[in-house]
Amino acid sequence: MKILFSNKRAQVISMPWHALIIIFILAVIVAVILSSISSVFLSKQDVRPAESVLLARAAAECITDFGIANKNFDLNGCLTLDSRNYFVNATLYSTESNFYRNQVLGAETIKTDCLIADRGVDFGSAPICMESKNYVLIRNGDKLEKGILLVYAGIRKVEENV
Amino acid sequence: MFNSSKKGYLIGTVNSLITASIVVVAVLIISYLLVVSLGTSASEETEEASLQGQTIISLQAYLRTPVMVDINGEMQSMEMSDLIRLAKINANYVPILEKGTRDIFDTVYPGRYKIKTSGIFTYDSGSLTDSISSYKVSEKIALPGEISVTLSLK
Repeated sequence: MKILFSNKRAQVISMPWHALIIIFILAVIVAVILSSISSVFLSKQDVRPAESVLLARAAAECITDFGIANKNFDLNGCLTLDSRNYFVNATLYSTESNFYRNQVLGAETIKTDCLIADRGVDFGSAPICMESKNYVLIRNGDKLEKGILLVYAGIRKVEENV
Repeated sequence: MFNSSKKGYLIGTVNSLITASIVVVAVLIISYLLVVSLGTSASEETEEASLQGQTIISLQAYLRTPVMVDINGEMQSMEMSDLIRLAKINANYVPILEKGTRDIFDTVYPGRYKIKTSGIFTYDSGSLTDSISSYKVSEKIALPGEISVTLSLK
């Protein structure tokens, strides 16, 4: 480098190298930016965790109204599911009386598959499951009882895990 | 780079190359951090969204929970939100409020909730187990009389 820059001729020769280095640097920057963006935005993303949250939340909102749960809830009125790939299990119970109600929609085998996957058994198309636990009130005649609403939502994957 | 002398030109070129190298390294680091942060935030956001839904429903139910309170020797039925307002006026009701609150949330979210009623009381169920607060979501509901109730979950 010192020889190249030590005389006038060398300055003339160094110009293309200088330009090449700048082009190379710019190319590296562009490549890094493009690869970073593509790795995030173009790669396959598993949206089922977000979907299962929405499903559990939709079921909980279907059953409750400003914290008070409908004792005779029916998820069929709120959720229309593809019964092969979706699963919802809603359990409402009182902590003050014997009241208990449970409703299951969709494929129950999804829950079994989730339990297997939770135990560390990895298989090709393990479903994603999400559980939510909510403090609610249950109207029992004129009285409001303390209760708990558990919603277990699961989504099966049609394609193999990415 | 803008100097006309040979020495100046040489120094300018070297400076440009050093600057460019620093820029490249900085871009590489920023891109890496961006990718890592975007990659991990998706699962955290999912968990937060799940907790947020639970927090809203539970807080709404909590405020409407009926409680029996002794007022001047007479038992009165009221909602938890009324008891909070009463405790704001009269501090004698704070222990009843705190006990009622803990009875509810210790059953549902043991060790992973914090409740704060502005200027009345704060209870952090996770303070005994965690030295650093790590609550993922908080939901606040305002009550009349400049009172707000905030429930945080983790």
